[in-house]
Amino acid sequence: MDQEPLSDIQKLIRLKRFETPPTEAVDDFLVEFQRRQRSQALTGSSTKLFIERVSTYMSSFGRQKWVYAAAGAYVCLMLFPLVKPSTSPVNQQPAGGGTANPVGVRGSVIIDQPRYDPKQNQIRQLPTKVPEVIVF
Amino acid sequence: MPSQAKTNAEPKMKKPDEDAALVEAAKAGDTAAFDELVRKHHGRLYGLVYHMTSNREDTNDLLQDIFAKAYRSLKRFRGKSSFYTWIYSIAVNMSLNFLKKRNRRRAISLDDVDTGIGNDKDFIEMTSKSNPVKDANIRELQQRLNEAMMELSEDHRAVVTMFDIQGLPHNEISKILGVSAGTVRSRLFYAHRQLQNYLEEFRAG
Repeated sequence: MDQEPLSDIQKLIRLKRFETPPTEAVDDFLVEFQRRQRSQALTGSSTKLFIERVSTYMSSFGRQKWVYAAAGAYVCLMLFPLVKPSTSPVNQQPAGGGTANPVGVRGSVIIDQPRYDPKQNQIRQLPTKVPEVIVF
Repeated sequence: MPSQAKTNAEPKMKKPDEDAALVEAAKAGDTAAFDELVRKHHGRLYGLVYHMTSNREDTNDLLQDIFAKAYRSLKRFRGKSSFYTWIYSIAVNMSLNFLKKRNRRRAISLDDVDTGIGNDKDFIEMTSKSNPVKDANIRELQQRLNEAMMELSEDHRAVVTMFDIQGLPHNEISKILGVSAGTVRSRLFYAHRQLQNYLEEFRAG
């Protein structure tokens, strides 16, 4: 402890160090600790454990953790559209307009759609380039 | 033969961690080794948490969580500090988080006062003179001291606990809390002034 004379208040507060639990408290504590460890091993949520471990891991980076977390979130955001299966636009666009609500358009696809063929003078299933819509 | 005078540039020898062997055994899966670490450090950590919460039940619950977290995190402990400093930091941070979340007006639940207080020189000095401490019984004094501590903010209570009650030096407290030694000193100064107001009745006339 730094060597400075103690004030009256410090002398009073230091008396709190005489507040102690009973001597057998540590034995009881250890029994309870072991019981909780066994219980957690049997019933612990793996998701909660995973979150805690990620949190502990990130805390070891200090202030850089926010940079790494932001970078990780950005990578996840960029990867998400690539892994999410796209839905067929045919199913999403009912005939006559309908009430489909596409959230976004990603490129285009070629599908067979009924179209008028002037050469044959009839309606035929012809390859047509349509926007690929993503509906959540 | 000329004597080699010590210079200020001489590097300080890092003391070997007394717990190193137990920590390595616990990391390897020896639960009895971790139990021994619990026994060894329970007292000081109990004191830290108790003086910050003034509640026995909360102290026991929180200490269970602290040791559980230390056990789960043990593989990440690299030995840059002693095991005790490492787990002490965990305990301080978890206690502060706990206090900031809980209802500040939770009831005080106190441990008994060890009879050794009767041999403490400061206590003897305060009770031998004509002094309000002499007139108050120990239980009443204990109650008032704890109430005064509870009036401090969590951050101020933490520095008072670590410096005044547990005797940690300023630089160690600053490392644990992640603040400068100057901040530790100024928090202590402010906390002592607050405590002087709350404990005015017990100050010597």
